[in-house]
Amino acid sequence: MKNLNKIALAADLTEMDEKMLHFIKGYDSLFDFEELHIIHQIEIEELSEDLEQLLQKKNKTLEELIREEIESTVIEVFGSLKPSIHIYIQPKPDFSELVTWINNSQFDLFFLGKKKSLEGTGIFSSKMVRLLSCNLILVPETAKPLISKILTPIDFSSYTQRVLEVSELIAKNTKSEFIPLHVLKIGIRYFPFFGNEKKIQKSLQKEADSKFEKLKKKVKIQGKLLSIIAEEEPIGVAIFKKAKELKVDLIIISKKGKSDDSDLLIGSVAENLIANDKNISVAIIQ
Amino acid sequence: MKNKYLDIHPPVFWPATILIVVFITITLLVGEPMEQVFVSMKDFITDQTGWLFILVVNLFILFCIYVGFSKYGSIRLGGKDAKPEFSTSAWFAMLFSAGMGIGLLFWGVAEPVNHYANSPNHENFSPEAAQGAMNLVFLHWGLHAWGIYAVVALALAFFAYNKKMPLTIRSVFYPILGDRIKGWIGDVIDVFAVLATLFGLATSLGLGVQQLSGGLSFLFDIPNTSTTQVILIASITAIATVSVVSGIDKGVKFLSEWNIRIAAIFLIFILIVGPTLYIMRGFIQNVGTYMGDFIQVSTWTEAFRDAGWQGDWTVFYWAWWISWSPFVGMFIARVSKGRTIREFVFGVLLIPALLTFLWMTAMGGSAIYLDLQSGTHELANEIVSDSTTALFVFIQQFPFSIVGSIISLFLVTSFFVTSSDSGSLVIDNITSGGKLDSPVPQRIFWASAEGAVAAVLLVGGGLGALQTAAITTGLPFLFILIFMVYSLYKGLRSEYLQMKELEQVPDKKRYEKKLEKSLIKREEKSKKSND
Repeated sequence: MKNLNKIALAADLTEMDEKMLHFIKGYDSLFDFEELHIIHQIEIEELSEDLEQLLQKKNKTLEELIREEIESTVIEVFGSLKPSIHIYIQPKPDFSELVTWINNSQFDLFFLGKKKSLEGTGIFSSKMVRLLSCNLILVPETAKPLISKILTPIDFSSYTQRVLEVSELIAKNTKSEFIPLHVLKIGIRYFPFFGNEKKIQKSLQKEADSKFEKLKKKVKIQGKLLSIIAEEEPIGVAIFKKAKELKVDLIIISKKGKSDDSDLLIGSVAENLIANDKNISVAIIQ
Repeated sequence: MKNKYLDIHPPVFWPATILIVVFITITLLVGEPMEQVFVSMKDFITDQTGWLFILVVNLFILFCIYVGFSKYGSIRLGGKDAKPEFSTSAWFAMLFSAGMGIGLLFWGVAEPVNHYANSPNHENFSPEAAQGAMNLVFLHWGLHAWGIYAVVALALAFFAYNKKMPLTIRSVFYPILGDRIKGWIGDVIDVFAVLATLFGLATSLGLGVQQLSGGLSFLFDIPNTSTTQVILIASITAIATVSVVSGIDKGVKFLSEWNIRIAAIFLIFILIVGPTLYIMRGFIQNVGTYMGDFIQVSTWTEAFRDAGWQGDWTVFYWAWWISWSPFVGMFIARVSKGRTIREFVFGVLLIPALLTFLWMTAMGGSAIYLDLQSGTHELANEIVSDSTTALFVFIQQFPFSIVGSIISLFLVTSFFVTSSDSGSLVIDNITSGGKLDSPVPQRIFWASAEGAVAAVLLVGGGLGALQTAAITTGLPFLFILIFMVYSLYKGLRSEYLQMKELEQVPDKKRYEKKLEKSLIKREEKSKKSND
């Protein structure tokens, strides 16, 4: 797994941009990113009167004005416009073009802000999570730019190895603790054995542990697998509860899991964890 | 590996080339006994796997109808804003020309008459046998053939235009195999595609040469021997090579345009000098009967009366179309950008099939009609006795027969040339890893390889060898096609979800407000600091 070098941020021109830049600045001291691309899409083609007037007065295009706005936020946070910071403004409200451009740019990590109280319905973020093919991180407004504990839920699917690799990399760079988590769910297929739940749990846990031992050798990581049981609740809820309990500040998860087929652009567990009411940063690995 | 003479993808080019050379060498070294080997191979495959071909080809049609009618039908090849490159009428003409091959000339008269004279399910030479014969011919050349092409072409077009991948068979497997398509699995798939195309093409070329040689001997008493055939292959391959060297914009395009024109003239010639009234009535009735009996005739497997009839015909055709499918599929894919999947499926399934039905009714249907009228069955017997001269015997029944015969000789030759040159371009495309303009020597190599394989097959065992070649390469490719359908389905599903996701219009009002708020606020801020 190579280092995270080229990162991007979707700017929305609200206070959130400043928060996100502070957050990235904090991360930067740990990862030493090489390039930061700040991306904004203009979503309208016709301007309101007020805006028209402003543009005329300033004798500038909307694009230039937005660029200035973003630049001033960058200067506020970083002190100056560093040459490693690039600003890209997509002038048309053509979302598929923006997605293609981002996917072709091959960012190592894409930062998205997640708002609870600030205005915004999150449509943009939810689209980005579904359509981008790079790794993303969703940062709630309340998050602090420091990581001390990472939770990595795994399900031993084809995505698991990659998620562990990324977790290991981030844990190493941030010198944080990294806890692999496996959620046991006793499915309906065990129905005839209902009387014997404890036994089934034990055997499931044993199976998970032995799979994890094999993975440890493959990915070269240390640590012990934490297993929890999700009774009635969805797996995502169980993971979030555990994360709160452990005071985790980053959850790293794969975009899809074992039981998600291609009918979904994003797996149900990841979907659950990025919901608006959850206030822990979530990294989604593809 | 890129230089002036070669621009290849070595892991595909070399295995394919070596397998072809090994095949040619063995056939030449073994000589005579090879014929027996070919026949037993063909019998074994058709006996054991005939049912599978029939089942899977029907599934392809169902799949086409499903994607055409379902929500996936609204997906546009090349993205939602793609525009068709060709007008609808030009597109139809090109679809038809893709499937119009030597086969239609070779079998157009011979096949219907064969089924009529040796009917698998009616009394020979009866009117029932006549109708049954047309039904079988429509089965072999109709929706099923185009269903196979449609699946391959749709998969190629979808992954090339919507997913922006190279136009080669392996790209189609991306949803199943992911990046592994760039590895050895992808190479194996492409090698099979090359072999299938080459042997499918060689089958066509072999038939074409047999017909040419048969026609020359019928008309001008030139001896019909393997030597004549090999000389014909060599000289026509040379013409094809010239066309290939001149490039797709010049030779290949010129020839294929004229091909279609001459074919149209020939069809009109038959419509006028032949039994016009019968052809018109027959076309309607035959299409109707085909539609009425569609399910029965397309699922018939000789289950209770195994006379081995189907192996020589239906299974052979299915295998032949399958081995042709990378070739025709790639062509159809190239001309279909900008069509929705619904347009695509119905365009590819229906239009060429209807024209083929008219052609078959005009050729074989007329021959059967004339034979039924004559009451002696001399005509049918003469046609059945030698498939290679069937067309010429048929033309002799009409006025200006020498004109008709010369047109048809010319047509066979030019179809031979176009199949050979466009086939080499397709094989070239696959063996170079999806590149569209490869060096000239490489194209010459593939054009000659096709000629060589066709010649060797003819020397090594005639028609039986040709059919065996198509069937043996069709079988592995059948499995590849099954995976292709699954993979295409997966790809379409995710494309549809992404399309829906992109359709959600953002809230423009809210964005506008946000923009005003932040820009105007900043403006006021800077004003204050200036004050």
